[in-house]
Amino acid sequence: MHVNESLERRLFGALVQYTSEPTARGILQRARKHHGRKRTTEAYFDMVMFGAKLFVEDARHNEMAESLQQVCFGSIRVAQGHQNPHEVEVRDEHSSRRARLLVRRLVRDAGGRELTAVRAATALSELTRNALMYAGGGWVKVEMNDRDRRLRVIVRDEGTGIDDLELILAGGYRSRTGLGRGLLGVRKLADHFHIQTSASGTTICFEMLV
Amino acid sequence: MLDPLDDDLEARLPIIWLWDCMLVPLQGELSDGQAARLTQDVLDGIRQRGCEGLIIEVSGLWLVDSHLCASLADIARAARLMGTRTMLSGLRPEVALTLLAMDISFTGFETALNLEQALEALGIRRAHESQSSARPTADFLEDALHHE
Repeated sequence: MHVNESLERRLFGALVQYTSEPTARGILQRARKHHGRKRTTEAYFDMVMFGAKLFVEDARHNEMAESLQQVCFGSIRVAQGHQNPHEVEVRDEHSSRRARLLVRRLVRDAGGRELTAVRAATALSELTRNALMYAGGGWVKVEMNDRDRRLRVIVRDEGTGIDDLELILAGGYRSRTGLGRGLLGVRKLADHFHIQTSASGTTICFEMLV
Repeated sequence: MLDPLDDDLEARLPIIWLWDCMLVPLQGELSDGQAARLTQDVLDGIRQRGCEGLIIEVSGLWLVDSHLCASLADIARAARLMGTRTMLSGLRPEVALTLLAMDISFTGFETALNLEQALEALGIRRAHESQSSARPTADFLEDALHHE
């Protein structure tokens, strides 16, 4: 089944129960553009969920997933693509180290190369350092999708957001402490990079194929 | 319960003197606190004893992020100001490739494939040929080939 306007319209209807209309539109546009070479409804659904999860609080994720599955597949899938979400709260270097080791282990367990493990752990290290330095800490969520061997890492904080984000990502900004360099580095390492920042916090998500 | 990781994070890093050179072997990961203290210890050492060359041995580091990279570069730049040349030796391929992918460049120090080459670059080399098992094995293989 292809992604068509009718499916998009119905998904939009389901999404606006959880997000604002412009956000829902953005999520769908992005998903349509990026749902991969396979171009299956499953891949499209995963991309929609991927985007939507960033904007919806954790407690409503399952409920939203069921509602979107109902629209996409006409039924609720028993197994979720992403398995074993691990969460680590990062408050100091110790917990940040624990998160890095977790990522390395997950990549190794999935049969990934050492280079991938190092890349993923380094990217996470940049993000947790920023969270510690600028927001006093945050939360790391790591998921390994066994189906398409995709590692997804989400780092969320409740700091005051990143000013000049566009300038930073354009490479025209270097802070003394290296925030810009770290963020740019993560974007270069990741296969998929998404950042959302506001005065009430920042959520950064990256994905890597293992 | 005591967590051994806590102690690791606070451990002071060893500095080994080899004649007028300073060797700093790094292992595993480095906390920011450790990096800061290392900078202080290295610079104190240079001031007190004088130092021809500083070798930072990183073959034991599995992760070097942009911040650690900047810390190491700071040490090298400060050492340079005090007249000491810094060599970075043994960077792992995965770490090198990751830094490259992030577009982070190591500046301010020379690099060497391993510790031996770093020492050699600083003028320290072994006085005589090895008598270890490396040669006999090669001889043995050669003999085996000739006999065939």
